[in-house]
Amino acid sequence: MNKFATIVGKFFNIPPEDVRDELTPQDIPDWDSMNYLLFIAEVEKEYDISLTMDEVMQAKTLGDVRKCLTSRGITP
Amino acid sequence: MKKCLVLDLDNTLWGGVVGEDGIEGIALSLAPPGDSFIAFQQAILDHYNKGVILALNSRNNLEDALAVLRTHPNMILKEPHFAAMRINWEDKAENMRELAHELNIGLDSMVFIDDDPTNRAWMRNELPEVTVPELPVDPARYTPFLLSLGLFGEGEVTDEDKMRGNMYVTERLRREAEKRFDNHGTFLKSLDLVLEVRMNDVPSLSRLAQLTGKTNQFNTLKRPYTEEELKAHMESAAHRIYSGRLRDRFGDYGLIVLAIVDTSETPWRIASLLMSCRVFDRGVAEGLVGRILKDARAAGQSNVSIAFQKTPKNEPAETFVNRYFPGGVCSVATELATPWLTITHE
Repeated sequence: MNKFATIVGKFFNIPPEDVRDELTPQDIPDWDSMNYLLFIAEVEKEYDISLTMDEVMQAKTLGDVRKCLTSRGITP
Repeated sequence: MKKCLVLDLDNTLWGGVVGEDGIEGIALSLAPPGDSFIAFQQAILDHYNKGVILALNSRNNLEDALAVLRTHPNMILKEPHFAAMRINWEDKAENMRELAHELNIGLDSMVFIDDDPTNRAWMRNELPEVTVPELPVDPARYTPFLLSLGLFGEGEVTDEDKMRGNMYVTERLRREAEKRFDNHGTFLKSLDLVLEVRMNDVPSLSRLAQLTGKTNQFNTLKRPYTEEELKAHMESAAHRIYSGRLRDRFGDYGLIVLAIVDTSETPWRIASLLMSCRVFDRGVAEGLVGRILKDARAAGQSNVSIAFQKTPKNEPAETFVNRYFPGGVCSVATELATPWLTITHE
Protein backbone atom coordinates (compact mmCIF):
# COMPACT_ATOMS: atom_id res chain seq x y z
CA MET A 1 0.00 0.00 0.00
CA ASN A 2 1.25 3.44 -0.95
CA LYS A 3 2.24 5.48 2.12
CA PHE A 4 0.68 8.74 0.92
CA ALA A 5 -2.68 7.08 0.26
CA THR A 6 -2.54 5.46 3.69
CA ILE A 7 -2.03 8.83 5.40
CA VAL A 8 -4.82 10.40 3.34
CA GLY A 9 -7.11 7.49 4.19
CA LYS A 10 -6.37 7.72 7.89
CA PHE A 11 -6.91 11.48 8.27
CA PHE A 12 -9.80 11.93 5.86
CA ASN A 13 -11.59 8.66 6.56
CA ILE A 14 -11.66 7.31 3.03
CA PRO A 15 -10.48 3.93 1.71
CA PRO A 16 -6.84 4.37 0.56
CA GLU A 17 -7.70 2.67 -2.74
CA ASP A 18 -10.11 5.56 -3.49
CA VAL A 19 -7.39 8.21 -3.14
CA ARG A 20 -7.04 10.21 -6.38
CA ASP A 21 -5.01 13.31 -7.19
CA GLU A 22 -8.05 15.28 -8.30
CA LEU A 23 -9.93 14.94 -4.96
CA THR A 24 -10.81 18.26 -3.25
CA PRO A 25 -12.42 19.21 0.09
CA GLN A 26 -15.78 19.06 -1.74
CA ASP A 27 -15.26 15.36 -2.47
CA ILE A 28 -14.09 14.40 1.02
CA PRO A 29 -16.56 15.15 3.84
CA ASP A 30 -13.87 14.94 6.56
CA TRP A 31 -11.51 17.39 4.80
CA ASP A 32 -12.13 20.35 7.11
CA SER A 33 -9.58 22.93 8.20
CA MET A 34 -8.57 21.09 11.34
CA ASN A 35 -8.19 17.65 9.74
CA TYR A 36 -6.27 19.18 6.87
CA LEU A 37 -3.73 20.67 9.29
CA LEU A 38 -3.37 17.37 11.14
CA PHE A 39 -2.90 15.67 7.79
CA ILE A 40 -0.19 18.17 6.76
CA ALA A 41 1.58 17.69 10.10
CA GLU A 42 1.59 13.92 9.53
CA VAL A 43 2.88 14.28 5.95
CA GLU A 44 5.69 16.53 7.21
CA LYS A 45 6.59 14.04 9.92
CA GLU A 46 6.41 10.93 7.73
CA TYR A 47 8.55 12.39 4.94
CA ASP A 48 10.71 14.54 7.24
CA ILE A 49 10.05 17.78 5.34
CA SER A 50 8.63 21.21 6.14
CA LEU A 51 6.05 22.63 3.74
CA THR A 52 5.99 26.38 3.16
CA MET A 53 3.02 28.54 4.10
CA ASP A 54 2.25 29.05 0.40
CA GLU A 55 2.20 25.30 -0.25
CA VAL A 56 -0.11 24.60 2.69
CA MET A 57 -2.51 27.41 1.89
CA GLN A 58 -2.61 27.04 -1.86
CA ALA A 59 -3.17 23.30 -2.11
CA LYS A 60 -6.63 22.77 -3.55
CA THR A 61 -6.44 19.05 -4.32
CA LEU A 62 -4.63 15.98 -3.00
CA GLY A 63 -2.51 16.17 -6.13
CA ASP A 64 -1.30 19.64 -5.07
CA VAL A 65 -0.08 18.18 -1.78
CA ARG A 66 1.54 15.25 -3.56
CA LYS A 67 3.34 17.67 -5.89
CA CYS A 68 4.94 19.31 -2.83
CA LEU A 69 6.58 15.92 -2.20
CA THR A 70 7.63 15.21 -5.78
CA SER A 71 9.13 18.72 -6.06
CA ARG A 72 11.44 17.68 -3.20
CA GLY A 73 12.49 14.55 -5.07
CA ILE A 74 10.26 12.28 -2.98
CA THR A 75 8.18 9.58 -4.63
CA PRO A 76 5.09 9.42 -2.46
CA MET B 1 -10.40 55.62 14.68
CA LYS B 2 -7.28 54.91 12.62
CA LYS B 3 -7.48 53.83 8.98
CA CYS B 4 -4.00 52.95 7.84
CA LEU B 5 -1.15 50.83 9.15
CA VAL B 6 2.22 51.94 7.76
CA LEU B 7 4.95 49.35 8.17
CA ASP B 8 8.69 49.09 8.13
CA LEU B 9 10.23 45.89 6.65
CA ASP B 10 13.59 44.74 8.12
CA ASN B 11 13.14 43.45 11.70
CA THR B 12 9.48 44.48 11.57
CA LEU B 13 7.88 42.13 9.00
CA TRP B 14 10.81 39.71 8.99
CA GLY B 15 13.89 39.14 11.10
CA GLY B 16 17.20 40.51 9.87
CA VAL B 17 18.18 42.90 7.09
CA VAL B 18 17.44 41.66 3.58
CA GLY B 19 20.11 43.91 2.02
CA GLU B 20 22.77 42.15 4.12
CA ASP B 21 21.36 38.71 4.88
CA GLY B 22 19.74 38.09 1.48
CA ILE B 23 16.32 36.61 0.83
CA GLU B 24 17.49 33.19 2.05
CA GLY B 25 18.98 34.65 5.22
CA ILE B 26 16.09 36.61 6.69
CA ALA B 27 14.23 35.04 9.64
CA LEU B 28 10.85 33.90 8.34
CA SER B 29 10.69 30.18 9.03
CA LEU B 30 8.46 28.21 11.38
CA ALA B 31 11.26 28.15 13.99
CA PRO B 32 11.92 31.09 16.33
CA PRO B 33 12.38 33.94 15.73
CA GLY B 34 10.81 33.51 12.24
CA ASP B 35 7.55 32.21 13.73
CA SER B 36 6.94 35.50 15.56
CA PHE B 37 7.27 37.45 12.31
CA ILE B 38 4.93 35.09 10.44
CA ALA B 39 2.39 35.47 13.28
CA PHE B 40 2.77 39.26 13.15
CA GLN B 41 2.15 39.29 9.39
CA GLN B 42 -1.01 37.23 9.88
CA ALA B 43 -2.25 39.64 12.57
CA ILE B 44 -1.63 42.50 10.11
CA LEU B 45 -3.48 40.56 7.38
CA ASP B 46 -6.43 40.18 9.79
CA HIS B 47 -6.47 43.99 10.02
CA TYR B 48 -6.44 44.22 6.23
CA ASN B 49 -9.35 41.78 6.07
CA LYS B 50 -11.30 44.05 8.41
CA GLY B 51 -10.73 47.03 6.11
CA VAL B 52 -7.53 48.63 7.43
CA ILE B 53 -5.34 50.08 4.64
CA LEU B 54 -1.75 48.79 4.60
CA ALA B 55 1.27 50.73 3.36
CA LEU B 56 5.05 50.36 3.47
CA ASN B 57 7.60 52.94 4.53
CA SER B 58 11.05 51.38 4.68
CA ARG B 59 14.72 51.93 4.00
CA ASN B 60 15.68 49.20 1.56
CA ASN B 61 16.75 48.70 -2.00
CA LEU B 62 13.42 48.45 -3.79
CA GLU B 63 14.41 45.31 -5.71
CA ASP B 64 15.49 43.47 -2.50
CA ALA B 65 12.19 44.29 -0.80
CA LEU B 66 10.06 43.40 -3.82
CA ALA B 67 11.89 40.09 -4.23
CA VAL B 68 10.85 39.12 -0.70
CA LEU B 69 7.27 40.35 -1.18
CA ARG B 70 6.90 38.51 -4.47
CA THR B 71 8.83 35.28 -3.96
CA HIS B 72 9.43 34.39 -0.31
CA PRO B 73 7.27 31.28 0.29
CA ASN B 74 6.50 32.13 3.92
CA MET B 75 5.43 35.75 3.38
CA ILE B 76 1.81 36.07 4.49
CA LEU B 77 1.62 39.65 3.26
CA LYS B 78 2.07 39.95 -0.50
CA GLU B 79 2.58 42.94 -2.74
CA PRO B 80 -1.14 43.43 -3.58
CA HIS B 81 -2.03 43.85 0.11
CA PHE B 82 -0.21 47.19 0.18
CA ALA B 83 -2.13 50.17 -1.17
CA ALA B 84 1.01 52.29 -1.40
CA MET B 85 4.76 51.88 -0.84
CA ARG B 86 7.71 54.11 -0.16
CA ILE B 87 10.75 51.83 -0.24
CA ASN B 88 13.79 54.10 -0.59
CA TRP B 89 16.57 55.85 1.29
CA GLU B 90 14.67 59.11 1.74
CA ASP B 91 13.44 60.73 4.93
CA LYS B 92 10.72 58.52 6.44
CA ALA B 93 8.68 61.53 7.56
CA GLU B 94 8.66 62.87 4.01
CA ASN B 95 7.68 59.39 2.79
CA MET B 96 4.81 59.48 5.27
CA ARG B 97 3.52 62.81 3.93
CA GLU B 98 3.61 61.37 0.41
CA LEU B 99 1.76 58.22 1.48
CA ALA B 100 -0.97 60.31 3.12
CA HIS B 101 -1.28 62.35 -0.05
CA GLU B 102 -1.31 59.32 -2.36
CA LEU B 103 -3.90 57.48 -0.23
CA ASN B 104 -5.86 60.68 0.31
CA ILE B 105 -6.11 60.21 4.08
CA GLY B 106 -5.10 62.39 7.00
CA LEU B 107 -1.81 61.88 8.81
CA ASP B 108 -3.89 61.63 11.99
CA SER B 109 -5.50 58.42 10.72
CA MET B 110 -2.12 56.71 10.20
CA VAL B 111 -0.24 54.39 12.54
CA PHE B 112 3.49 53.85 11.98
CA ILE B 113 5.11 50.56 13.06
CA ASP B 114 8.91 50.46 13.02
CA ASP B 115 11.33 48.44 15.17
CA ASP B 116 13.92 51.23 15.20
CA PRO B 117 13.48 53.64 18.17
CA THR B 118 15.37 56.36 16.27
CA ASN B 119 12.92 56.22 13.37
CA ARG B 120 10.01 56.33 15.79
CA ALA B 121 11.41 59.33 17.65
CA TRP B 122 12.06 61.11 14.35
CA MET B 123 8.52 60.46 13.12
CA ARG B 124 6.99 61.68 16.39
CA ASN B 125 9.09 64.78 16.24
CA GLU B 126 8.45 65.59 12.58
CA LEU B 127 4.82 64.50 12.34
CA PRO B 128 3.15 64.52 15.76
CA GLU B 129 -0.23 63.77 14.12
CA VAL B 130 0.94 60.26 13.21
CA THR B 131 0.43 57.63 15.91
CA VAL B 132 3.73 55.89 16.63
CA PRO B 133 3.31 53.04 19.14
CA GLU B 134 6.30 51.85 21.15
CA LEU B 135 6.83 48.47 19.48
CA PRO B 136 8.21 45.90 21.99
CA VAL B 137 11.85 44.89 21.56
CA ASP B 138 11.08 41.15 21.49
CA PRO B 139 9.42 40.09 18.18
CA ALA B 140 7.50 37.43 20.12
CA ARG B 141 5.60 40.33 21.72
CA TYR B 142 4.75 42.05 18.40
CA THR B 143 1.48 40.17 17.78
CA PRO B 144 -0.06 40.51 21.27
CA PHE B 145 1.03 44.16 21.20
CA LEU B 146 -0.73 44.88 17.90
CA LEU B 147 -3.86 42.99 18.97
CA SER B 148 -4.08 44.95 22.20
CA LEU B 149 -3.53 48.41 20.62
CA GLY B 150 -7.25 48.92 19.97
CA LEU B 151 -6.61 51.73 17.49
CA PHE B 152 -8.61 50.35 14.57
CA GLY B 153 -12.02 49.84 16.09
CA GLU B 154 -13.64 46.47 16.52
CA GLY B 155 -14.89 44.50 13.58
CA GLU B 156 -14.88 40.77 13.15
CA VAL B 157 -13.60 38.71 10.26
CA THR B 158 -16.58 36.54 9.31
CA ASP B 159 -15.50 35.52 5.81
CA GLU B 160 -14.92 31.76 5.99
CA ASP B 161 -11.96 31.71 3.61
CA LYS B 162 -10.20 34.45 5.52
CA MET B 163 -10.86 32.80 8.86
CA ARG B 164 -9.49 29.56 7.44
CA GLY B 165 -6.36 31.40 6.27
CA ASN B 166 -5.81 32.81 9.77
CA MET B 167 -6.29 29.37 11.24
CA TYR B 168 -3.87 27.61 8.87
CA VAL B 169 -1.14 30.05 9.73
CA THR B 170 -1.60 30.46 13.48
CA GLU B 171 -2.37 26.78 14.17
CA ARG B 172 0.66 25.69 12.21
CA LEU B 173 2.87 28.00 14.24
CA ARG B 174 1.36 26.66 17.47
CA ARG B 175 1.84 23.04 16.40
CA GLU B 176 5.43 23.77 15.51
CA ALA B 177 5.96 25.49 18.88
CA GLU B 178 4.32 22.60 20.74
CA LYS B 179 7.00 20.23 19.43
CA ARG B 180 9.52 22.09 21.54
CA PHE B 181 7.66 21.28 24.77
CA ASP B 182 7.49 17.93 26.57
CA ASN B 183 4.53 18.97 28.64
CA HIS B 184 1.18 20.23 27.36
CA GLY B 185 0.64 22.47 30.42
CA THR B 186 3.98 24.21 29.92
CA PHE B 187 3.14 24.69 26.25
CA LEU B 188 -0.24 26.25 27.11
CA LYS B 189 1.44 28.55 29.61
CA SER B 190 3.95 29.66 26.95
CA LEU B 191 1.11 30.78 24.67
CA ASP B 192 0.07 33.72 26.90
CA LEU B 193 -3.61 33.01 26.32
CA VAL B 194 -6.02 35.86 27.00
CA LEU B 195 -9.80 35.32 26.99
CA GLU B 196 -11.80 38.52 26.73
CA VAL B 197 -15.33 38.01 28.03
CA ARG B 198 -18.21 40.26 26.99
CA MET B 199 -21.86 40.39 27.83
CA ASN B 200 -24.51 41.17 25.21
CA ASP B 201 -21.99 42.15 22.55
CA VAL B 202 -24.29 43.61 19.87
CA PRO B 203 -21.54 44.49 17.32
CA SER B 204 -20.59 40.79 17.10
CA LEU B 205 -24.10 39.48 16.36
CA SER B 206 -23.29 38.11 12.93
CA ARG B 207 -20.31 36.07 14.12
CA LEU B 208 -22.29 34.85 17.17
CA ALA B 209 -25.16 33.68 14.95
CA GLN B 210 -22.62 31.97 12.68
CA LEU B 211 -21.16 30.11 15.69
CA THR B 212 -24.59 28.77 16.73
CA GLY B 213 -25.09 27.39 13.24
CA LYS B 214 -21.68 25.86 12.70
CA THR B 215 -20.65 24.39 16.03
CA ASN B 216 -21.34 20.66 16.29
CA GLN B 217 -18.96 19.05 18.76
CA PHE B 218 -18.84 21.34 21.76
CA ASN B 219 -22.46 22.40 21.72
CA THR B 220 -24.91 21.58 24.52
CA LEU B 221 -27.96 22.30 22.41
CA LYS B 222 -27.69 22.25 18.63
CA ARG B 223 -30.00 24.99 17.52
CA PRO B 224 -29.01 27.72 15.07
CA TYR B 225 -30.05 31.19 16.23
CA THR B 226 -30.64 34.08 13.87
CA GLU B 227 -29.10 37.49 14.54
CA GLU B 228 -32.59 38.81 15.34
CA GLU B 229 -33.21 36.11 17.94
CA LEU B 230 -29.86 36.73 19.60
CA LYS B 231 -30.46 40.48 19.58
CA ALA B 232 -33.88 40.00 21.19
CA HIS B 233 -32.21 37.88 23.90
CA MET B 234 -29.59 40.58 24.49
CA GLU B 235 -32.26 43.21 24.89
CA SER B 236 -34.49 41.11 27.14
CA ALA B 237 -34.08 41.38 30.91
CA ALA B 238 -34.62 37.61 31.15
CA HIS B 239 -31.45 36.64 29.28
CA ARG B 240 -27.77 37.37 29.08
CA ILE B 241 -25.50 36.36 26.25
CA TYR B 242 -21.90 35.85 27.30
CA SER B 243 -19.24 35.53 24.65
CA GLY B 244 -15.49 35.34 24.62
CA ARG B 245 -12.70 35.99 22.17
CA LEU B 246 -9.30 34.44 22.57
CA ARG B 247 -5.85 35.57 21.59
CA ASP B 248 -2.33 34.37 22.28
CA ARG B 249 1.19 35.14 21.21
CA PHE B 250 0.55 33.70 17.74
CA GLY B 251 -2.61 35.62 17.03
CA ASP B 252 -6.29 36.21 17.32
CA TYR B 253 -8.67 33.22 17.38
CA GLY B 254 -11.63 35.59 17.18
CA LEU B 255 -14.95 34.94 18.89
CA ILE B 256 -14.92 31.29 19.87
CA VAL B 257 -17.20 30.70 22.85
CA LEU B 258 -20.79 31.60 23.60
CA ALA B 259 -23.33 31.00 26.38
CA ILE B 260 -26.98 31.97 26.45
CA VAL B 261 -28.10 32.29 30.07
CA ASP B 262 -31.71 32.50 31.25
CA THR B 263 -31.55 34.70 34.35
CA SER B 264 -35.30 34.82 34.94
CA GLU B 265 -35.25 31.42 36.65
CA THR B 266 -33.76 30.29 39.94
CA PRO B 267 -31.30 28.79 39.55
CA TRP B 268 -30.01 30.61 36.47
CA ARG B 269 -30.04 28.25 33.53
CA ILE B 270 -27.45 28.02 30.77
CA ALA B 271 -29.76 27.40 27.82
CA SER B 272 -26.89 26.95 25.39
CA LEU B 273 -23.12 26.66 25.70
CA LEU B 274 -20.92 26.25 22.66
CA MET B 275 -17.28 26.55 21.73
CA SER B 276 -15.39 26.41 18.43
CA CYS B 277 -13.36 23.23 17.86
CA ARG B 278 -10.30 25.42 17.23
CA VAL B 279 -9.88 25.98 20.95
CA PHE B 280 -10.50 22.55 22.47
CA ASP B 281 -8.31 21.97 25.52
CA ARG B 282 -7.53 25.63 26.09
CA GLY B 283 -9.88 25.84 29.10
CA VAL B 284 -12.02 28.47 27.41
CA ALA B 285 -15.42 26.97 28.32
CA GLU B 286 -14.23 26.71 31.93
CA GLY B 287 -13.22 30.37 31.81
CA LEU B 288 -16.59 31.52 30.48
CA VAL B 289 -18.63 29.35 32.85
CA GLY B 290 -16.44 30.56 35.73
CA ARG B 291 -17.45 34.11 34.92
CA ILE B 292 -21.16 33.12 34.78
CA LEU B 293 -20.87 31.41 38.19
CA LYS B 294 -19.30 34.56 39.62
CA ASP B 295 -22.08 36.77 38.29
CA ALA B 296 -24.71 34.29 39.53
CA ARG B 297 -23.18 34.34 43.01
CA ALA B 298 -23.19 38.14 42.99
CA ALA B 299 -26.89 38.00 42.06
CA GLY B 300 -27.63 35.80 45.08
CA GLN B 301 -27.89 32.45 43.28
CA SER B 302 -26.41 29.33 44.83
CA ASN B 303 -26.42 27.12 41.71
CA VAL B 304 -26.46 27.38 37.94
CA SER B 305 -28.17 24.71 35.83
CA ILE B 306 -27.50 23.72 32.25
CA ALA B 307 -29.63 22.33 29.44
CA PHE B 308 -28.12 19.45 27.49
CA GLN B 309 -29.39 17.58 24.48
CA LYS B 310 -27.36 14.72 23.07
CA THR B 311 -26.60 14.66 19.36
CA PRO B 312 -24.48 12.16 17.38
CA LYS B 313 -21.56 14.62 17.44
CA ASN B 314 -21.59 16.50 20.73
CA GLU B 315 -19.68 14.16 23.02
CA PRO B 316 -17.12 16.86 23.96
CA ALA B 317 -19.96 19.01 25.32
CA GLU B 318 -21.41 16.02 27.16
CA THR B 319 -18.09 15.32 28.85
CA PHE B 320 -17.89 18.93 30.01
CA VAL B 321 -21.47 18.93 31.34
CA ASN B 322 -20.98 15.63 33.19
CA ARG B 323 -17.78 16.88 34.73
CA TYR B 324 -18.92 20.28 36.00
CA PHE B 325 -22.72 19.92 36.13
CA PRO B 326 -23.35 16.54 37.77
CA GLY B 327 -27.13 16.13 37.91
CA GLY B 328 -27.45 19.19 35.67
CA VAL B 329 -26.35 21.80 38.24
CA CYS B 330 -23.10 23.42 39.30
CA SER B 331 -22.59 25.22 42.61
CA VAL B 332 -21.54 28.86 42.27
CA ALA B 333 -18.68 28.06 44.67
CA THR B 334 -17.09 25.70 42.12
CA GLU B 335 -13.57 26.66 41.08
CA LEU B 336 -12.90 26.04 37.40
CA ALA B 337 -9.14 26.37 37.43
CA THR B 338 -7.35 27.25 34.20
CA PRO B 339 -4.05 28.66 35.44
CA TRP B 340 -2.63 29.22 31.93
CA LEU B 341 -5.52 31.46 30.89
CA THR B 342 -5.83 35.16 31.69
CA ILE B 343 -9.46 36.28 31.70
CA THR B 344 -10.33 39.92 31.12
CA HIS B 345 -13.72 41.55 31.30
CA GLU B 346 -14.93 44.53 29.41
